[in-house]
Amino acid sequence: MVTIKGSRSGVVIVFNGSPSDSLAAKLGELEARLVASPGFFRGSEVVVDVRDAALEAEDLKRIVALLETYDVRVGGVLAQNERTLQNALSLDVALQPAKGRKSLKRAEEETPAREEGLSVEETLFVERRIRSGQVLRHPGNIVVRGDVSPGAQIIAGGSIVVWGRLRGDVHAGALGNRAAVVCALELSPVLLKIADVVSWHHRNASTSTGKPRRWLRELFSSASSVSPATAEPSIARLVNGEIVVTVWHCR
Amino acid sequence: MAGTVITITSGKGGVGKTTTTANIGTALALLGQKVVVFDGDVGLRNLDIVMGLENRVVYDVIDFVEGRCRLRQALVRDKRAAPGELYLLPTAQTRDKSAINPRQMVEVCEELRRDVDYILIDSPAGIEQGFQNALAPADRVFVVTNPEVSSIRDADRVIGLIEARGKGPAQLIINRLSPARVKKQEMLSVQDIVEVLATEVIGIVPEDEAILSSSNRGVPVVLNGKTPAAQAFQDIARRVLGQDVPVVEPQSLSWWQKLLGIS
Repeated sequence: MVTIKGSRSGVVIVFNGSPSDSLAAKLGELEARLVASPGFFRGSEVVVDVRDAALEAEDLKRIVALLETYDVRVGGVLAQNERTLQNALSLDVALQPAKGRKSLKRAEEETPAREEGLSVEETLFVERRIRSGQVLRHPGNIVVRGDVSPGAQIIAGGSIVVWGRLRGDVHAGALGNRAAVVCALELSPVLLKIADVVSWHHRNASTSTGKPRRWLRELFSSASSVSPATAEPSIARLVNGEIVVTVWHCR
Repeated sequence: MAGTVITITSGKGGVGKTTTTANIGTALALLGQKVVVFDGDVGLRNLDIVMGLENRVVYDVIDFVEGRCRLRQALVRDKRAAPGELYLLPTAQTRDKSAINPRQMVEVCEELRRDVDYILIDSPAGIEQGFQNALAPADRVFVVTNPEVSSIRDADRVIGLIEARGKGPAQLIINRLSPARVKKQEMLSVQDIVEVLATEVIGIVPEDEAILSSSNRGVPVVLNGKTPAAQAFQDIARRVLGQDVPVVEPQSLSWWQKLLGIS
């Protein structure tokens, strides 16, 4: 009944299912999703697509309140039902139907037809450097062609591939997919998470030269260095509940 | 004539934005340009002090936007920077960032730009409204950073925001570089910084003891010419004018070079 989708404008939460499903049931399912994947949703802004459901202002407020409980901001509500749309319009600034409608249009342009289930098969491809303070969040896979700076964040429902230096925070499988992986040409993130497993300090142990550049890499060094990160192309994956990094060798 | 607006910003405070603004502005005027240096830090104004024009401020930009004076009346002429013309547009010390908005900043710069070659805006630290105000009218943006991890992290953030606002690409000024400490590997090198920020460097200003006393006396170092920092600021001014002045990383002098007085 509740689907998480990605669009160029960000994450969309879709309430689908038959009109006979009660709102309480949908909210229950949404809450289960929020509880299951806090790392994906926390601090995000989403668009809520209620489809053709007929909802009162009170109903919309409940949706917004539930999301806010989990630190998720509602950037807009999409509604096909005219009455629901009017209710959304009448609510305060938290709901921006105009912006939402625009997002709907764009979302539909970019994610055609295929709408059932988690759209993890969709990959977001980004061709630029991700700088400190910038966040990429997508329910599917994320591919970045460019470096990821310290202080940047990449959060994906699926896998993360960085064709460049990965030095920011990454969270793959943030919707619970434990088969997700993180690959980078230089894998030295500040914080690396796969599903619910955290690994601090993926630093390149072999670069302990005492040079100042090491400050950058070891800025956030913590006592528990789980596994050595490398300046070579590497892949991080979950093996028996632990994050393991292996260097990829070209034969 | 339509002047160019250059905003000088950094994210982190204390990296030398005001000193950089004062010196590049003065250096441009010494090269014959008509220049306004504009203090964008409402409520924490400093540019007037560094320029040594503190006691000549009568009106400020807030007086202008609130209709208490004409823009010309708020400009303070600095006669030391011949053959060009140099003016300070001060801001209010008794107000805060909400006293002016981005649209008004653009209007002020539109009016100034008709009469001058360059407008240099000294942005406040941070990424909040004061920064947004300073960025709004910019044609070019210079980001000042020190060879230090926290300053570089903030510069990276600010460069991203500048790109997101369509004001990029920003250009980088590396300030307070100490060649001797880079050589001893105690300080990040220019190469290290560029590797992280991937941004064009428009100037490298070495650490220079003359800066502190010149800021306190209100005499920008470029006015009495020959210190290492003064030369770096003059080079930046020439690059702003489009002259081909290669950017080279300052080298530390070995003992025999110092002995022979070679620089």
